[in-house]
Amino acid sequence: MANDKPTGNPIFDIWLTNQQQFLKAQEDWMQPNAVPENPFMNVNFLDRSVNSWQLCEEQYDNWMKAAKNWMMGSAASESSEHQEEEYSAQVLNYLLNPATFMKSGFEIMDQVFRKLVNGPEFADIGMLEKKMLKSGEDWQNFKDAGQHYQEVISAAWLRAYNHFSDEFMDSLNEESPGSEEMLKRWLKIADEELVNTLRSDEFLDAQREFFAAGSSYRLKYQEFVDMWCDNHGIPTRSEVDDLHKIIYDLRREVRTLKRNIEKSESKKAAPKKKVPVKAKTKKKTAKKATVKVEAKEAKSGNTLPKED
Amino acid sequence: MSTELQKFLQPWSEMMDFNSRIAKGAEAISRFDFSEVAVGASPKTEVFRSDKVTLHHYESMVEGKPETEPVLIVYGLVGRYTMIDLQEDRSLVRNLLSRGVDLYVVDWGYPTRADQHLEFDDYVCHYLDECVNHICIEHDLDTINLFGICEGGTFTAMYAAMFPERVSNLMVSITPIDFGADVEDKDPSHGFLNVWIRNLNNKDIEKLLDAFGNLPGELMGAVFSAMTPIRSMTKYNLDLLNAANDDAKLMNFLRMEKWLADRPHHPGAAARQWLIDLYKENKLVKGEFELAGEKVDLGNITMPVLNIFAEHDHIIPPPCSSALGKYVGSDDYTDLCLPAGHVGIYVSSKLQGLVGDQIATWLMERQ
Repeated sequence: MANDKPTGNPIFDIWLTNQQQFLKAQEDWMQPNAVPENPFMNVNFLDRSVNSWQLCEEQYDNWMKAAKNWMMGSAASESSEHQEEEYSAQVLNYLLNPATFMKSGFEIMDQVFRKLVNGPEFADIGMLEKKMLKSGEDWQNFKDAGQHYQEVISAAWLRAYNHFSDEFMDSLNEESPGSEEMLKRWLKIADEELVNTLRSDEFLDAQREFFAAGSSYRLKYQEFVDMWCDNHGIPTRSEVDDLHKIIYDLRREVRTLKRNIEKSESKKAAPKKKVPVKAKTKKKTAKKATVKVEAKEAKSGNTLPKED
Repeated sequence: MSTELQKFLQPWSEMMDFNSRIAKGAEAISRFDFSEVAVGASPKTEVFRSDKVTLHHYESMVEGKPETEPVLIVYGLVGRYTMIDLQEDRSLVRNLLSRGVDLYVVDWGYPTRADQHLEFDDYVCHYLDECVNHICIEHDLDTINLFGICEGGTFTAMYAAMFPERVSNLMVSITPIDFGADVEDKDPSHGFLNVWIRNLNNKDIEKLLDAFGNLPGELMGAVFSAMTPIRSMTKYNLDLLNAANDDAKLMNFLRMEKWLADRPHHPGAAARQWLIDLYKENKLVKGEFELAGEKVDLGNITMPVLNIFAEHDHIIPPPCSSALGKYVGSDDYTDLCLPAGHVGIYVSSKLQGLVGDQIATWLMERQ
């Protein structure tokens, strides 16, 4: 089990170890001829264990179904306004895979930015240019920067895991604190480590380089695409951007002219009368007041949502 | 049950509970139709449109005339205004409407690469001004109340500074004003956005925006996720599991997901100003930020001001918001600090009603 074949996921490994220890301790109880007064005589522990793992497998299948359902729902949307839902579905699908546990959070950034930078690929259109580009310096820089960024993050997870292991793995042999408590402790340790990392010079440098290299590659790719479009008589991105700029400037000009006309017309119009609203109250002057609402003053209810 | 027996049973029981819960929860989610998840559903009517920008008037929830002059809600370009109307029982919009507040909201729409040249000037001095004009004409008024949220709060503060004669009362919430004040926040998990943006070179920001035209919504979403790595890591397993066995909780979770995923692109030129002029160079509080060729002077904000911010806001650290008090020229200024996070201030069940009450009371005292 866990000791023989680690999953690469610390929580799963610990959970597995826990179960292994627990089941080993119960070996005697689970013998067919265990003492009749044993309170667990009517319970088939082995069957329950198998059921437990079946539930795990079932759960994973259901997650996959849910992700698929989500993605299909998003795909059904025809409006480009709902592209974000597709993105959300991809993230959901991605995070449901326990193998990505160690890299979560940052991996989203890495994945999204890479996807943005690489852009779509359509059969053979522009593929030759893309291949050429990927043999160049910009692609190599982007690859290196991405790798370094991941290394910094992975190192943070590793430090967190080592810290967690040092503190708690020994105590697991004596008395299990329970999986929920272990998870809480693991998350707390990981959170502290990651918060520190997010402010570290190493992370800041890596992140800056990652964005810079990605943008450079994207711009270089744009140059190639423009060249390709130009050679095939298709309007280039730069030309379309120029048009947008021209339209934008014209709109501003029209706006200014309209405003000038309205101003000159409003000079002729009578001044507006202010209609009082119901129940005018006397203005209460709260000169530079500060009101701090304490948590206990807030109405009772559920806990604050996670997305705050 | 003896202590020994309880101790013996605990790990097994936990394991079985956990497995049953995840299986049951996952099954519930797999049956769910995600297209039914609705946000921003309070009834409203589009009353004005300019390019992709639309102005909506919410249907009143009280009989007779409204208790207040119109209030225009202005959200930012990062995210969507639907956050304040997430669901029926977690809706600032409904809380205000039920207290007799006459509400409008501006929807900036979904900018595309064609909108990459739009600047703050366009949003503040043109689109927002057009919306204010429309409401003033509709109600035969010279002034209205503004309520800006997040980047929308920065827009409204700038508008109030540029056109103080058009604003009766200014309310801002979770709004960055002093973009360098994050250093005053002692919580190390707050203000990553400030730290990360300051860390970028101007030319790198320019390159990023040149490469994509706009600041991609997906990228902003990823940055927000990266700011809370543990929360991002657990939300689709632990949090979802906790929610999945309860239909109401599950809907809350899914509505929030829908809102988070609905992230428009930020027009490139305005993003350049947001990232470089404001986040990096902090020009607003230095009096150097310009709109329509004029410097924005926060000292021109002489109308009553209500500044609401969140004590646990990791995106806009509280000192960045509370700084407004130092710069406005108003002698009627109120800070309201709430025990919540950036979004929790509006969607938390604990604070439901409280925020609406505070805003409505403050507003009615100034009618």
